[in-house]
Amino acid sequence: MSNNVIKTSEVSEVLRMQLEGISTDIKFDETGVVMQVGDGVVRIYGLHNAEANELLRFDNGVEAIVMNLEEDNVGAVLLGSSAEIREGSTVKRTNRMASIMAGEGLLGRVINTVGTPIDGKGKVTGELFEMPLERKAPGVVFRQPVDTPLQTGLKAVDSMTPIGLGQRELIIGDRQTGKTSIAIDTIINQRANFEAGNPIYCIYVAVGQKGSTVASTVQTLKEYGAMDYTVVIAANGSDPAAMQYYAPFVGAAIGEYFRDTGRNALVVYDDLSKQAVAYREVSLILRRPSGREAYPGDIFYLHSRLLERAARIISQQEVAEHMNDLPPSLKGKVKGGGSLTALPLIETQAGDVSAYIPTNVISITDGQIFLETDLFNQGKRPAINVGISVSRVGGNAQIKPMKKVSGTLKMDQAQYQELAAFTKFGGDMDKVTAMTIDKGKKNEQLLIQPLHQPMSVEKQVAVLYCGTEGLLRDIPVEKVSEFEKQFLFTLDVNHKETVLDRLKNGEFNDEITAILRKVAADTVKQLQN
Amino acid sequence: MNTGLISTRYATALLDYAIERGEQDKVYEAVKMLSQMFWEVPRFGEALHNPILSPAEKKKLILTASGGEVSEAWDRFIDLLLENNRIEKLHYIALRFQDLYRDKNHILSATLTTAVDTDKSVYERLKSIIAKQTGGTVEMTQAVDPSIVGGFILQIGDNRWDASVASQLRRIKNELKEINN
Repeated sequence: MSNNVIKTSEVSEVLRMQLEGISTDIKFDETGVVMQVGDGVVRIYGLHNAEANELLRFDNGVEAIVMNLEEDNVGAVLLGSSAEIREGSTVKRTNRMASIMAGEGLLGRVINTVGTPIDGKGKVTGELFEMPLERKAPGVVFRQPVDTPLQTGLKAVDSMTPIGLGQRELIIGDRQTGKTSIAIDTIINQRANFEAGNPIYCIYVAVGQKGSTVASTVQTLKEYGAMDYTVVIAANGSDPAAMQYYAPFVGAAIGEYFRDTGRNALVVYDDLSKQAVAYREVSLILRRPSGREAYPGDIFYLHSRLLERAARIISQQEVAEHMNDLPPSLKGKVKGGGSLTALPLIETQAGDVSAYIPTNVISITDGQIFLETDLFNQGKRPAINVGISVSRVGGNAQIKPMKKVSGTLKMDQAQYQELAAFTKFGGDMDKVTAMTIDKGKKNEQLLIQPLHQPMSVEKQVAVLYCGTEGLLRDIPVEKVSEFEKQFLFTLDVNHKETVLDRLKNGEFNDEITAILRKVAADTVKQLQN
Repeated sequence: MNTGLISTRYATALLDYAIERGEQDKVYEAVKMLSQMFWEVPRFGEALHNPILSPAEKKKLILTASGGEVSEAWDRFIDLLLENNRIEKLHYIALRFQDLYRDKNHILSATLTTAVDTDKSVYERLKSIIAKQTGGTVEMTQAVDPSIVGGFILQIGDNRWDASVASQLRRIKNELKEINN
């Protein structure tokens, strides 16, 4: 039995010191008695001074959060199993709001909604700060406009629907269309920033997913070295509905820790549809009145208050220090200039974006990336429907070279998608239409990207320059991906300092474009032989 | 969602009516016994929720649980609940009524739980100390629960002072587990 192995800390002296250090202070607790327990919800009589969203504790250590305050009883949701809780059990107030202990020690860990590690690597180490789960978003005065890009590494996203630091961009689509893959590739692409010393910390919140899926996602992140700067919060399908409901708030609270201390963070909510379902379950059991599709009346508020916490904080230190609703644990540690970017995911049914929850979240976020099953099945991955995908931040979140190169790309591709249906009729086409369709087809091929292979922004600019300037005129569609490979290889080997590094720094002039044209022409000639 | 609202209204009505008829003490005793029955015999609560039992049968059960035919006001109140189909809220109403009655008469309810039977004098002293501190009357009950191992648990109204050995042991166990993890 492994329990017989003596740990080093079990030396008697050490144990005696620990016993001395344990507080045996006894104080008066405010208590209530459980009237009903079932389906993850407890109804408690008493607790007259309980506050909304306060943490309650049972004698066996299980905690609950107060959700309903009535005249003589309190409805609370359990953050744990209801196995040992019965009618007549005692509950006491903890006088604390629900919160999560956040710190640098969380990076690389997988935790559940209450902060307990579930990756088997022991306690979370380092200095931890208590961040409340519910908190008001920063006011207008404490924000600044989005002006820095968050590079996802995906050509289709960074060129046509660019994301900036502090933006909320919704990724919406049916099941199995590649929503999680876009989020994971974005996280993987931040490795370069981490190695360069200005990391964008990533938080991945898995709500209602299978344990095996979360495990394989964590494995993927480990393989690509992303776990060094990522925290994973998992509230799997088998966890109580309350844990699934609060998991995105835990992600937001940890993100705010980085945001308010002057760093940049990215939080991925995968996905908010499951959080809405969990909240619906909890609300119905608490007997709150239901509305459309049986969702409670405040389902919009649920998502809007969560997503409003993603912001770009003003760089002026004196202003940022006076941010509203700063938690006491951060007093004195606030730095301006940080940001929290949110990538919520929503799953639609049969492509219906006009259902209740999708329309709610679309109206909250600063743009959406819409993924379609048809495009996915045709092999065009990422399966982004360019026509209805948009980023309301746009050019402000792009470096100068990218802005120049992808200027009309989105509109051209949208036009092409419309015209492409047209060509199925056959018949003659005028030269201009034929050229548009040809260019659109080749750009489409350029935008296809394999899974987990994010591309740095300078390479994206180089590749897309060829596409938008029509330098692929003379090669067939089937050879486009080979062209891309050869082209990038040549640039890497021969023109790293002259082109790639200068593009990365934001330079874009005739000298660079001349080199790009020459390399493109050479590659085309090679392929024609 | 409206449980609190409904039970408060019925409890207030019962209290006012009982006071009018001068039967509030009798009703209070009946309600106290009924409340105790709910905790001790869970099947009693289930029976009241059962749609197969007729209102007359339910009324008989409730009267037995509350100590028999003791007060006209209580009798009528049960009839009212059965008529208005609010019998499921009886437990909440009973607890709320006790709260309202105690508030009105400045009575504090206290429970002392010990592992073994304590001396009567200790118990009386504690009662008088609490009465002096709070300036009202104290209704004290005593309970013996060997599972607390030692020490005592004192519950005054909503507040609980847990000085039992069992909970201290539990706390030590949890903290040691945390430290040594």
